Amino acid sequence: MIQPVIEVQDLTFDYPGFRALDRVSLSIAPGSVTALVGPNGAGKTTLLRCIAALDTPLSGTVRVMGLDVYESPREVHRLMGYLSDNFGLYSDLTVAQGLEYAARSQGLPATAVVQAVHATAQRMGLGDKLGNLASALSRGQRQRLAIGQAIIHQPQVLLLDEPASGLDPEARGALAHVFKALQAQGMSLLVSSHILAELDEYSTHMLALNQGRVLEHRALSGAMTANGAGPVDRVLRLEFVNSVEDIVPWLQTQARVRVQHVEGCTVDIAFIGDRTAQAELVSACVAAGHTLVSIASITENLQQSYLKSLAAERTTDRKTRMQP
Amino acid sequence: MNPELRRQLWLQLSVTGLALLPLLLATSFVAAYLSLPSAPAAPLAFTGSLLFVLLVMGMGTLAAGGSVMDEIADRTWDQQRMSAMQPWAMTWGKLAGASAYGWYGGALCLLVAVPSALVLEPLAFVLRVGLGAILAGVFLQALQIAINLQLLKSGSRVSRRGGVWVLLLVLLWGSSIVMGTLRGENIRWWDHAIARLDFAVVSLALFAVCALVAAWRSMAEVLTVRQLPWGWPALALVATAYISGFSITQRTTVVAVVGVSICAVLTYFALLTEPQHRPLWQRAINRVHGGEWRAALRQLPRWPTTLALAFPFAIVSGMTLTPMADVPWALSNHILLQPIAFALLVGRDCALALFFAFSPHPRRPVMSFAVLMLVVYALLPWLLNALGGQALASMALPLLIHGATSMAIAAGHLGLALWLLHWRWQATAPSNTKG
Repeated sequence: MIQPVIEVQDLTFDYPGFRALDRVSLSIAPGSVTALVGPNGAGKTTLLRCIAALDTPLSGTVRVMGLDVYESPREVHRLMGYLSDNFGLYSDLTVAQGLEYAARSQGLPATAVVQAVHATAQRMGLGDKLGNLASALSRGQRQRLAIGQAIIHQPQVLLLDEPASGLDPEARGALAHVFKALQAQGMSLLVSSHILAELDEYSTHMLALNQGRVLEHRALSGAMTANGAGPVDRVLRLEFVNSVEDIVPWLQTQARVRVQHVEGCTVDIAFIGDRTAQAELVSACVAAGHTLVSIASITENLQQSYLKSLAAERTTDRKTRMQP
Repeated sequence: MNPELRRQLWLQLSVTGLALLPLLLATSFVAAYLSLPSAPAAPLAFTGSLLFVLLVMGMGTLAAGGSVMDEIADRTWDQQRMSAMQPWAMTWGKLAGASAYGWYGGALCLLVAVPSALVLEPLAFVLRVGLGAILAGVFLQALQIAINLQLLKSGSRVSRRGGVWVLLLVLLWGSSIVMGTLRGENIRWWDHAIARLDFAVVSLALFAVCALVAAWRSMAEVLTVRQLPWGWPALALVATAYISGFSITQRTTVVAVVGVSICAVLTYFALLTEPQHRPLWQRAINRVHGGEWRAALRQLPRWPTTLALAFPFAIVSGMTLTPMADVPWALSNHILLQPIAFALLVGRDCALALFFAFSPHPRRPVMSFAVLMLVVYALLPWLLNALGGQALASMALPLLIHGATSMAIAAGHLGLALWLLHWRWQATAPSNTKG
């Protein structure tokens, strides 16, 4: 079994007067990019800060790479990078000095610091700005410098709170490239953002929070993990000649299939498996005498997934309230 | 090199700054020399000492304090907290780095002040005074960092300026003591005769160590490196031992009375400068329920440790104290005679402070607590005294009477405060509706 990079168990966090996180449990797979989504006040920032050991929860445990973050916070920080939504930079230091300070304070050996500074600056597109003061950088460059400082020690886990906030579309695009590159190297990212379209581009998983609880945590359709395990989950639309009322019970008996939506002659199913498994499903369907017209993969974007989760939860809430 | 020290040196030491300061100091020394060219040693030594104090204890201390508060202002504090640096490395890196420019100027001042002073005083005296000045600088800078970290934890808006005011008071108090102890007869401390200057230097070394430990422990707390709460009671014990050493008679009684007083002061200080909100206590209680005693102790605020320590001191005081008829101030006499009741009242005050802090909508809980203290210690006894005499007033302030009655009334106060606190705790269980 693959060891998760982040394991959160029954995490509860209170601010005076209200509960920000309520028994949150989750695990983040290695090499994944998890979009942390939810409405304002859902507990996204609090969750990130608890994982980073910046805030201490009421109860519960957080482990990063197997280490308890509250028992060994400094050791965990060597394995982790964090960019807060309200980050600042040392304005009076140059880009090179800022990166060097980050590298040394994260315990990088002195012999590796110069190399790390140059490599990180290049990766973040700041190679020609090493001598510039941080105060002289543009907003996008400052953002990239801050991310550079968070990743200069090659952490296994990177937590980013609203990393693209305030950036123009071009800078956002550049940022998405950086995140994809980091994922390709095996880094696991947990990214909180309100701009779901931007997360859509590089996220493999969605973690939706609402009112301090996990609403949904799952792999996204067609998502690829960094370790090349292939598609982990996708939505397929099956079209039949006739009405599908008789076909749905058969589909529900299939191990890799979860029926999501039925309308007229079409059925949307969540399917887990690779292309061979998909071919086997088609063969089995035809062998069972169902007249399949077409099969197509539907790409559900993050926004749709998130809104669907939110709507489902609100429906459940309403039903619960209406019960006598 | 310590990364924080390196960063501070980048910020503090510029070529211009390094070149400019010697020029400014040289100008000052030339002016001092010209003020009395026939005997320049005294004005040069005085100017050098004064500039040392300004640069090391003034500018260096401000810079040391700023090394914490500037991180908040620049929103870089999270980055520092996310580093892998251990608390001690962060502490000394800030201490040495932020004040480096002040120390650079201070060293230049000593280069002039020490040779000038040697014309007037023997070498041993000058060296001791110089060492004392350096230790005083370290003490003040470390204390400023510790105070600012404490203010930071409390979320106080007083921030840096508040820390400076506290420090100025310490400076004025400390300098008057040090100046008064430079010459004269030996000091008797714990039955040892010690030369005054030696005692001042050793005292400053002790203060500097205490301030460094305080800064380190406070840094550990803000870096969420939780530790067992031995630092605060240890400070109470060291302060008790230091002050009690001056007593000549009734040693046990003096230790106990000083101990209970120091514990009370430290309890109130921690109570009013640390966050006391409900989740913090709920965390500790959750750890206790889970049988994680060490973790629970590491979650505790500081004040319960000195409050607990106050009781053994109070019991010993109660057993050894005899009426001190020669104490002119009646209230002091009563307080000394009723140490256990006093400790119980400190406990009551802590419970009341938590009662305000646990309010669902706490607005200035410290201010509410201060107003209540004014009422229970002054207005209410005064009013009841006016209405029905001292017996009635002693119900509000049991320190006004003697013996077991005083303790019983104080215990009643504590019980009532604990009941109120329990009620508030039950009434403010959190909901998960978003606030």
